[in-house]
Amino acid sequence: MKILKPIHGLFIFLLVQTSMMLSAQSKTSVTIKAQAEVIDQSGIELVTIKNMEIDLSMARDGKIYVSALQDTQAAMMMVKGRANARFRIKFAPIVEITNSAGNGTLLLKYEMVGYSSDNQGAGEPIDATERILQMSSDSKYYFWVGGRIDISNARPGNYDGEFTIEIEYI
Amino acid sequence: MTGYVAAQRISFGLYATDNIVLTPLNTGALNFNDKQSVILSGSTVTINLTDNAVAILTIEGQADMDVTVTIDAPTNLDLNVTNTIPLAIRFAYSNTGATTDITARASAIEVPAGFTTITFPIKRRASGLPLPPPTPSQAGYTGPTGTTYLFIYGTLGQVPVNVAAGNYTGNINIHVEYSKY
Repeated sequence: MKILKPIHGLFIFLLVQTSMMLSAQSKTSVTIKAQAEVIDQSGIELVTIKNMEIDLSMARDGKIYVSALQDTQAAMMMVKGRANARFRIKFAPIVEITNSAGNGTLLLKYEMVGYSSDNQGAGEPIDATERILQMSSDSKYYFWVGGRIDISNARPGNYDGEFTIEIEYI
Repeated sequence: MTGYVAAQRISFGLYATDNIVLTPLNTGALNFNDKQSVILSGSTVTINLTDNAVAILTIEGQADMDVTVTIDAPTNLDLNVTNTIPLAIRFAYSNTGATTDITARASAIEVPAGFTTITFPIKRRASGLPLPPPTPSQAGYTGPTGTTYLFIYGTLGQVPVNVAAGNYTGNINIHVEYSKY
């Protein structure tokens, strides 16, 4: 009996070891990464590339029209932000421009087109109601701004005005 | 007596060899920006089971065996020690024998929120009396295999107002093993 006991104990030890090894082999694991990129609200930027150019030589019957889609005189702006992000824009469709000499004001009715790359002719019309647009994969969106203005009753002088556009991520 | 107790540890798991294969189907990531491109402070982003942003894995194994899946996920995504965002992970499985993740998702069973472990058959068994125990794998015999789909999703946030901008990350570990009874 004294001889058998140690052999029995050794056998048990090996059995337990074998069990643990096989259990470990039957377990499979994988790791997936969870991630989220948080950005500042200020991570959106509007860059004016070109201002709208209007001069009297463009007038026809006392009216000037700059086509946002076709004219090289149209203003051009670019939004820089996050790739493929959706954003909302708003702008005032009619803006008062002021004679710098204080001789009255004129109303400028804007028209705007936008596209996700620098291709004015491909722009889609954007009206003044709230619109949802999407940045390109290289984080940009382009706008071209034209407009109509009636100068038939305008007094001579320089007129200045601003085009204000509101952009917000959604 | 001690010897007999140890012998009982030779459990169902011993029938299995290392033939469970876990395969991430999409990018192997759960990216909350895939659900909401712009995540700002104050946002809460929830990826639901039906969303495209769900992380999908397949579990291939012996069809007549049960597997136990354990999800080991952090409770936060971290930028660093001081900037963290709460994370609540959920998961679902589909063991109907579907051949694509689309059909699998339609029949997926969501594991209730808060649970991190679940046991289910690789292939759902028909109702009725339990079948006899599966034939153990042995030389010259390999049991039928099956594929179960696993879907990982969850909620990020609310993103605290004062956290820094940046890429927040965390690792979700998924362990799968044949169940032992």
